[in-house]
Amino acid sequence: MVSDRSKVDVSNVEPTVCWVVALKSEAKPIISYFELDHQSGNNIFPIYRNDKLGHSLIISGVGQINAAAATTYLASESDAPPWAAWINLGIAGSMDGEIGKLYQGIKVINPTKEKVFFPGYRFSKIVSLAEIQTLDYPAPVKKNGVLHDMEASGFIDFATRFSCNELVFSFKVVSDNSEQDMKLIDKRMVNSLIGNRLQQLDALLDKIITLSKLEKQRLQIPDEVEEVFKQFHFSVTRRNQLIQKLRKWKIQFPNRSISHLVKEAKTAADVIRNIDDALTDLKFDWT
Amino acid sequence: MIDTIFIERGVVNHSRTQSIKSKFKNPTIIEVDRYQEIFNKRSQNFRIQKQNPALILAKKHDNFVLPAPSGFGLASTRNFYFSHMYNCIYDCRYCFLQGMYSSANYVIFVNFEDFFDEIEQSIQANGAKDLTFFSGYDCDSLAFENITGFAESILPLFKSYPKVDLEFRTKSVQLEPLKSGLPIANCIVAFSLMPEELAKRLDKKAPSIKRRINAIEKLAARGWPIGLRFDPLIYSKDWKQLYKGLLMEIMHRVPREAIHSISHGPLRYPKKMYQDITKLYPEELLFSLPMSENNSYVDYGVDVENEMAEFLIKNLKNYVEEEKIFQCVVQA
Repeated sequence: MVSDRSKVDVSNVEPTVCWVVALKSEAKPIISYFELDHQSGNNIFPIYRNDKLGHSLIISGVGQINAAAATTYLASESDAPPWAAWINLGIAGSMDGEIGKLYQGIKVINPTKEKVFFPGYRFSKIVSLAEIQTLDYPAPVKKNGVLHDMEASGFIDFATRFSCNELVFSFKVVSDNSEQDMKLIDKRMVNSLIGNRLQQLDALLDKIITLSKLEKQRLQIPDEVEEVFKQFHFSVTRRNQLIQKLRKWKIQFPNRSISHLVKEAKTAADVIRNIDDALTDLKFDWT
Repeated sequence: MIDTIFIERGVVNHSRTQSIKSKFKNPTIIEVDRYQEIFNKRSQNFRIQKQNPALILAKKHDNFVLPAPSGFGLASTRNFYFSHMYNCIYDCRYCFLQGMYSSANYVIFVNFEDFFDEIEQSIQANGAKDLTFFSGYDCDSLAFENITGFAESILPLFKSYPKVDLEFRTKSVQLEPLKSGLPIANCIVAFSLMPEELAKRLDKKAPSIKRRINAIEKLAARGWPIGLRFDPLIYSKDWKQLYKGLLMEIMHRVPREAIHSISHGPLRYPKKMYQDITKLYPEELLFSLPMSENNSYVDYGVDVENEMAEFLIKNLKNYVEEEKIFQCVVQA
């Protein structure tokens, strides 16, 4: 164990980090590090979870289509919130990269489909940044500073539908280069390449979870809203109005409930009007 | 500090690209085909990007000069604007850029000469008088000057058209090349201002009002025409007292002869933009305060807007001629 994971805030039981990994040998160090449990009853894509730490991991198999399908499957199975961070971790080929070095892909190209992505908040102080080309078959890299993989593009294309672009990451460890042939790669080597980067991944995760929490703070619907929804019938428009107004209310009165305004109401429209009136009476006091 | 520069393949070898690149220490360089690949894409998160914006160096191909939006101009018959840069290094909470782009990365168009050519064509096409060109609509005109050198490059052009005005709009206290150069009568340095107490809350990452007034004082002493921009006017319980304090400070420090113009405008957003910005910063006090929806705009309401405008004009009348005071209101 590299560091004490108990320091992570476990108050949030929803998955905040969703891992998409192609091979079991790539996933093993993460499964072990985060003490993820295999979820039974699923034969399509194996899923591992630790709800206390808020991590879910899916093994996608090799290739873009598998990565895209597994990402979608995990989003649905884990009910991932829109503030979840999505991470694609795996090995990649390079021409000039040092074997075992971890990179963050900040430009990901799919040359076949002519797609290009620029995923993730960049962590240049912790990890080197690189361009990744996602190919449909293993091929040696012929350009300096570029990595070859087989999943990143498919993963990003779909993960950005479940979270914002800045919370979607692709991290790759160099497994082969111009001096070390890809034929030498075996399960033990892959396991060790990823395992050796756990400390660096841990540092990245601390930052990623901070961003995810910030996004949660921004997007989370106040608990009180659900209570009000139970009492009156709200149309979709009014639901959104209530959420918006309650957020404003919470800025002005972080410790005050709206229960007195709800009590006076007979309809959903009354609730919104009452909150609106109370907010309109406010003075612009910046002090 | 910029850690990554995305560069359009077409301008990789441009001398200005090389010069800008050299201002940063070991940035990661990534080539792109077109800046639109990375800038302002769906699902990008402005707020998270703003924590660490990347720089994008690109070439602009058309629309170098555009008519200024209604409410942006001053006394000239025709007002134009141009943007050699998208986005700003400051993070002012009311800024419309955060509602306009989903990306907080900075785009710099390195082909300044194409801007200059089109500006010159517009000048000639419009009789070379009664025109004002605004820099700093999609960015701060001077804040990135030590990286781009844009102001330094454009000043000679306007020097040769004395009846055409150029306005740099800024919050920056980065005063070069103005401080060491000779003033140009038709080049106005316009500073955005609000009471310090409000700026502390809202003008994040921008120089304090005290530093801005110091900068104004220095440029005025050098002979540069000064613009004062109270736009947006921010309402508060004690706004009269706060704005009076600010005006007194300015009147005490900046000689009236240095003032080219004063403009003011209310806090006002198109509805969609207001919704986008409040979604981005739902915890922001500015957006929790009561605003009214009129036509397709969200604002303080006409009574508050008029009261603030009248107060400002009344308090400035003894400082400058009324003809130098302009109200900038985006028309619905």
